[in-house]
Amino acid sequence: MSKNYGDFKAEDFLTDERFRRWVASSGQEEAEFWTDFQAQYPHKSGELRLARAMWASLHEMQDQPEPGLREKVWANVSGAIDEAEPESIAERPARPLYRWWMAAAAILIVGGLTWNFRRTFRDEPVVYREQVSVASVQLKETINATPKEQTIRLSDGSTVQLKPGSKLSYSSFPGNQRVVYLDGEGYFDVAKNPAKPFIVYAGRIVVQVVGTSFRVTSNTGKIKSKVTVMSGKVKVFAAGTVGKGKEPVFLVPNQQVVFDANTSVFAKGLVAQPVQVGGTGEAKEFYFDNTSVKDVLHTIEAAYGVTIRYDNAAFESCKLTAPLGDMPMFRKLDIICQTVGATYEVFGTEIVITGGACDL
Amino acid sequence: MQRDIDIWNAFRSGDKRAFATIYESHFDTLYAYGKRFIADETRVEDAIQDLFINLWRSHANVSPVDNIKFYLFRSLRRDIYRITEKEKVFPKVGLDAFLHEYEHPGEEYSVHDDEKELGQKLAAVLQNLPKRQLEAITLRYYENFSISEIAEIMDVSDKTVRNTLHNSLTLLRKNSRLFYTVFELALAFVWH
Repeated sequence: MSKNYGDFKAEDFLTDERFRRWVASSGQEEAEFWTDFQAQYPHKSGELRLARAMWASLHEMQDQPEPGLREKVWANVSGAIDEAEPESIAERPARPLYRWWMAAAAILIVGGLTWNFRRTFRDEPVVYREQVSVASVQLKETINATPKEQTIRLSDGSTVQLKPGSKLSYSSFPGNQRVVYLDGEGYFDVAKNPAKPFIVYAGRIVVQVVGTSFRVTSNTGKIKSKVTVMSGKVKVFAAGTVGKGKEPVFLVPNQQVVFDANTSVFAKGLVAQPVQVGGTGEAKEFYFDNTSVKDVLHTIEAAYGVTIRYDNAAFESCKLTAPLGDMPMFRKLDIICQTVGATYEVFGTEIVITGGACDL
Repeated sequence: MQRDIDIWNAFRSGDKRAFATIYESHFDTLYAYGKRFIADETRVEDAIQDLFINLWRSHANVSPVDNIKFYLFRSLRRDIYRITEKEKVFPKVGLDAFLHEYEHPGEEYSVHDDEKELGQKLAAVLQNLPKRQLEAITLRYYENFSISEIAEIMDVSDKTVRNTLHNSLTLLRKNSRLFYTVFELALAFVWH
């Protein structure tokens, strides 16, 4: 190897021609070289993996033009430049120019065809207005024009608290599904009926549940949509992917997902203010007296339905006395971590605690 | 890049086929770049269309170029900047303003040993980067421009580009490392 690939970091891979050919061809080109490389420098696998993942994410984030767009714009460009140049007609031999025009016309027609084709057979609409207009049943629409939240009671007993300025379209649910359409923000409390799933079309995302409560925020024209779950289990799809083999995102209480329409990426995480879940419905007392940190964390995990990870074995023996009362969950964690000299970070839906001297 | 130099020279001498080749091979990537600044796709189309029409009209006067993509990116960015400056209406509103609400980023990590998964996580971090940081990262590591080319495209100093890249990479690396730490931690849990 001419280059010193053994010293490569992710950024060096990313600017290396061989690497770029490899990833751009989805591993078709240069495959042998990189197989050898990985055998020869196994310790580089982390950097190589980071480089590949970075390239893939950046690639994902590129907005691809619609099929046919390139041809359509080209037809405009070549039309404009030929018009503007009468003198070039005299200058240039006739045949190439004629062929040039032919090519432009062919591209225009083909481009036009694919254009219409895409428009007609596109995935299901992702804008509230369009979704409502193609619904198969008669819909009733409520627009909350008041300055306060408005509660809508649906025929199945479910309720929706609609934020001011938001719209909800719904029917009496004649079919085997309960389908509603939302633009804006609503808090849904869905009556349980496993035989008839409840589905919210909210612009670019689709939320499916059986019986539960959750909040959906999805405004026409906004890039991000969000679903927050208070109770039960919720499935979230990107619009147009339902039943097409794309994995939905599953949410449980205190989890949320933000969908970015630009990148079509779901970012799953914990809500900013987790609430206590399940159990008797009675709020737990968080009064810890000489309790091991391990048990304290376990109590919090159970009360809020979250996952807490830590690698400090001392937490088992290390004892803590703290009246944590009804303060918010993250405040409780702040206090625990400060007490034992640890720090925590939230990764997606998990809380990871690191460090901790525990010399109390 | 010899190929670029040849095509460009052919274009300068009035060869429309060379011009068409330049258009063909750069439209998609220019479109993706333009979409970063303007959400409305028809306006991105218009900007690219005007760029190429003007390019052809001035073909006899343009200077030699050894990296066509660089020339086009720089032109498009200037054009778009001019358009959005003029109507200040919907310039950068979209992303920057909105991202603010979701400032607490981005470290969306759960436990999977899948490279694709890591890619998605990195995408979540990347999305939460300030717009110009993401632009610099993309120009360097996706479009493969040199530091000084990026500085010229973005109209900043080389040093700014270098620092921006360094900071973003540190963040990404930290996140990817945490990703694996969490993953290994989870494995440890499974073993015990």
